[in-house]
Amino acid sequence: MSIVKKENSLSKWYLPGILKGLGITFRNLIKNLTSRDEMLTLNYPEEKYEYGPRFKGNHVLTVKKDGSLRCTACMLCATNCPADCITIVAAEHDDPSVEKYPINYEIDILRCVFCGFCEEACPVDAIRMGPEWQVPGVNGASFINNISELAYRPSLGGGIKTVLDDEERIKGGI
Amino acid sequence: MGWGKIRLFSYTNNCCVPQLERSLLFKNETCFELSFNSPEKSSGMIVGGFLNQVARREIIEAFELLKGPKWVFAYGTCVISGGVLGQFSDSLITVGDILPVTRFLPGCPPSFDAIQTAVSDLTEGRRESVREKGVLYALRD
Repeated sequence: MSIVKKENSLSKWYLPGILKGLGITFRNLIKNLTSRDEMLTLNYPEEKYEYGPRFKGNHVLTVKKDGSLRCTACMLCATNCPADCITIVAAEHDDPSVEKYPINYEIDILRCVFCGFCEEACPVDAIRMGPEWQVPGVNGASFINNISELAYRPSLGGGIKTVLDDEERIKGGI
Repeated sequence: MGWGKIRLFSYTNNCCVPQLERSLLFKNETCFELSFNSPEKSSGMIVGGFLNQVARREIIEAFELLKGPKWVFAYGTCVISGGVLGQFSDSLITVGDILPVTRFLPGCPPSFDAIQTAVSDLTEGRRESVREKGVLYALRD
């Protein structure tokens, strides 16, 4: 069904339409000039965009209170990873209270889709998604992160420490 | 209107399209603008989304039409390495096999700051010589 509008004298003239459109333009111009804080756009290099608290950025491996890795190399994150980007090489620890520990933990950033499934699967809160966004690079740049970048990169300041230590976990039966 | 901005041709598939547009709509103070239909007026291109058979053919056609420095930005995990879909594809061809990629932008989707730093690095002159990297550069001049 088509709607036919009859032409009246007002719609023949183009001037009312132009004035109506210019009214919207000047209204937004004056609104943006008077209250600059409410503008949607950012002056990018000076003002940075603040990401939310649940932003999923680069991975962080948490450490214990003595500075060693929290990870027990149970391979749950590598099994749960949909993109298959985590490779772990486990080794036995000298301390009998520690089950295993990873001697090599690599995440291929080019394969990772930052879904957060590794964070959900981890039973000991050893891996988290940090607040840093992914850095672009040229071909051949280091996109495969190992333990020194994941746990002890300089922006973390010596690593993120977990709240509970091993002895407290065994006493509490967690 | 982006006077004095670099125009980038955007060839993006699936879910990278709204993510790329969203990052540009709400923060207009960027150093580049996107064009969706004219690669012959653009100086670089953003390739995103999973590369199917049609997309592989069309990005080569678009790349040959580009003018100027011919930058290629690989936007997102799918186009770089296949990501999740790459495991189930028997013949996976990434953008690095077809075009000489200037910058890789990992992430799903890449953040707004990643595109911004990648483009502003190139416009300030800090870039490698892409001419030596690919065979396709022998096609022009």
